[in-house]
Amino acid sequence: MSPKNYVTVNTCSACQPLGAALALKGIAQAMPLIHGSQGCSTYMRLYLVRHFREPIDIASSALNEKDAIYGGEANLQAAVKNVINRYNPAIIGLITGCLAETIGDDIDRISAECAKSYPDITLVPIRAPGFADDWSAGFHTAVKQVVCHLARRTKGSRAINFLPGIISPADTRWLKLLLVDSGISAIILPDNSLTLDAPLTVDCLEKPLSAIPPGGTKCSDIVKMGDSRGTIELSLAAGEQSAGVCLKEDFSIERRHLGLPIGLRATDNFFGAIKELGGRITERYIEPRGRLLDAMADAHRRLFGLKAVIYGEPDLTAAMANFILELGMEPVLLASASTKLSQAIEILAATYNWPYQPEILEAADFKKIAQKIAGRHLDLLIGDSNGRHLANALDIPLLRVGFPVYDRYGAGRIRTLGYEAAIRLVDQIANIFQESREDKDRLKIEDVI
Amino acid sequence: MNNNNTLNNQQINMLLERRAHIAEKTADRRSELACNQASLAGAVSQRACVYSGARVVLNPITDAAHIVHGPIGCAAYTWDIRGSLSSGSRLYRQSFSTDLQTREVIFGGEQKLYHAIREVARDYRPAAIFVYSTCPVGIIGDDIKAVCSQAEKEIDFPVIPVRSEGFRGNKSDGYKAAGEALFNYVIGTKKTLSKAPYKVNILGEYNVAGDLWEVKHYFTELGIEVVASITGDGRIGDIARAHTADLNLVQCSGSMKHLAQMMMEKYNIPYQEVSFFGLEDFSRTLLQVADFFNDKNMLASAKKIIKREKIKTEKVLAAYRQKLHGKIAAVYMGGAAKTMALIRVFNKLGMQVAVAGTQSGKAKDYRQISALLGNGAIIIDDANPLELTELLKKKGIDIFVGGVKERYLAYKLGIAFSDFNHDRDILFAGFKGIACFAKEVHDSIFSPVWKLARKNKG
Repeated sequence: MSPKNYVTVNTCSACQPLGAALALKGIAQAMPLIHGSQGCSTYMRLYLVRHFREPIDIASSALNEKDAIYGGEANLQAAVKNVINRYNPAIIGLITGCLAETIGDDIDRISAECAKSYPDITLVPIRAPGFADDWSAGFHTAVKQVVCHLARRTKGSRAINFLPGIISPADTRWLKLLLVDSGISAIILPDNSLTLDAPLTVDCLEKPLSAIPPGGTKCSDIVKMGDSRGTIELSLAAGEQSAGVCLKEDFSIERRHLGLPIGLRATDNFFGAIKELGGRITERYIEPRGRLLDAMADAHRRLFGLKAVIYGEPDLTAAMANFILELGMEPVLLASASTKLSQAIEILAATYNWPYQPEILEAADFKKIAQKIAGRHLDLLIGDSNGRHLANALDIPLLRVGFPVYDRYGAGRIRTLGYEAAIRLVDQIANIFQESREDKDRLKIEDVI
Repeated sequence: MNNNNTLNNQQINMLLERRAHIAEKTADRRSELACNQASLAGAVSQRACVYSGARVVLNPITDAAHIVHGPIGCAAYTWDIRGSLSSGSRLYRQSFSTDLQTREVIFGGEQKLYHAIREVARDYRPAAIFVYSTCPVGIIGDDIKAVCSQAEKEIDFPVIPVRSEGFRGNKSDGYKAAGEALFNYVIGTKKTLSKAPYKVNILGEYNVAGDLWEVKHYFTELGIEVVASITGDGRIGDIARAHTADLNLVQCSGSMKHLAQMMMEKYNIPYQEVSFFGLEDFSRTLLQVADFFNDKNMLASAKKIIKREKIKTEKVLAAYRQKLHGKIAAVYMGGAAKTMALIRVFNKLGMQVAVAGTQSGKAKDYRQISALLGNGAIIIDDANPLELTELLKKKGIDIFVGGVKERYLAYKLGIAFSDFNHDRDILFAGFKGIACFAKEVHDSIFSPVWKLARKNKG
């Protein structure tokens, strides 16, 4: 046992309200409203904007000292009124920040009270104190709250609910196309494919802008989730915080947990599950499987035995570990600020028969990660941009995946799901090491002129 | 409840309560606007909080440890976000947080903070520790001042409480809290006097992209010692003897004027508000300082430097001016000093500023801004994304200058953008900086992407 740490050094976490706001950004005409001080929403916007490189608006009830003493209800009501006035949203997520949670504002009551004045707009209270759990928990909680609030049983349908968890807009686009092509009627929540990776079109330039960017899962579709015949969850870490729980409890809809389809076998299983639901996987999705194996064969001598540390959001961390094991690489340490990492790993390790159990570090920060790996040989870090200091200090490369990736372009377009994304990842990792092996005894400019 | 504000015959959609925060510069009347107020709930202000103000001011002190006493988010979102460079310690680039959990919010976080301070002191040997209080800490009533002084007894360097609960005001209050922390706990704690005949402190230059270094060497060339930079590339030991300087040069008045005033009262150090941005501004600064010291040789050297650098810089600027002439800019910054400096530079580049705003300007600032603008220009206080979007579109803006959050708002409108805030890695200060800025503006506007985006009709 290492001595107890009282200070968190170089966090790999972010707060629950940020995750909640991120989830709402995948719902059509939704606006997150943080009930707290002005700074919270501004900082979350900054953090999200640096990753997605999109304009991202989050409202705030802008509490001040007086409100902190006497309660923030009046401010929250004013904020709701002003947000409706300016953004014309279909749904507002009322997310409690630390301040509102500490002063004890009853968000459920205030939300219900507010809702009476706006019958056409959905107001969803989301309790997400920043001093509990982490951003990924806030994400799942927000999705669950929205579903619990909206989903209804009406006439019964043959649709499938897809809860992809935290994936990039590019991965969401892939998933959407796949499901359309499979012939399965699916409701994907959230859907960030357009909202967080919007094209620059002539419409943007010339037409009056809509206050909330287009795209996202429609509220009318979320209502219908109560009718579906099943729920597929790609998050193994969400657990009781998953929207699947309330769909099961309230509407007896079966849940199935798959984990993120990253790599060969996880994608095989994912496609298998879609087939079991009556979907067909067309040739264009299967054909890359052979090319993935071919890429793995091409690069296996560069990859085998490479030791990697993977850190970040628990589902991605676990799924990436499963993938690099297929490449003959060794995940020597899996770390997350979340305490849900082991449960995700346990399921994957059992499903895919992992040859050994890698070391797991929960409630991690980068100092604890550094202490764990001190003195050991390491080849690669896999995770978000916050690990760049550690990678630099260790003088090893960092494969950037997950959130946030703010020091490279195209974070919203990083793909991890399916065979084709796996091919790209294989090539990318192998090339990092190919490059570092290249001929040091290079020709000089005078040799080649 | 939406109200249309008629500006230059164009309609701007604004909430009723926001209408007084915008004005059009006209020839026949002074444009007064409402400002210095709390942000309107639900209006999506671009402002941050008290903590953020305190943190951005103090964070560039490189050899200090900055412990955020609060929930993890406050630390996560401020970790290494400012491009302030260091010539020495890199401690300031590490993030320390007490990472408050539910149990501490219920039972108090003083013990955890106390142990956190000791842990950081033991493991990192910083020159000082700043302890920032955040929203929940202010509510649960942790006495961070008592904890800091308790911990300090066992440590041989200052442990400094910063009162920065987010809800206690706005970013400007955070600047104040930061200044007071330095004034009460650091400045004046070291007695060593340097032998240099002329000594200044530089206040409110944060060394983003190395700006401080670019201006500092000119002072050295003039025979002036910069005792302390507060705070870009700053060191606790230097700031501790800042009271020995003859003059304070205040570059970012929004963040540092308060400290300069306190130093004037206690240590009799006069201050001058200066600007390092722009050929004229920086030249004036050098002359002003030489004037202050009333040294003929120094004045002659300053004139020589200016003449030498001006020739070089003017040549570069002239080429850009030809291309940029008539282009239209919008400026939205945190403080008024930067906004004004930018307007002057755009005017110098032959461009016109059609929209100018700040997050936290005061009435006097807006009058000065107004005086620099041409008729028909819009002045806006505490703007939000929808208002900015509309202004950018209606005013035919070619380039928007602001911070990270505003960048993609501009891009989505097909408008060029330049970051004048934390996130840039391009030098903007001094003679070299202004040439870099002109290049930045030019390259941003003339990228083919904006034309392609317009042509790309489906």
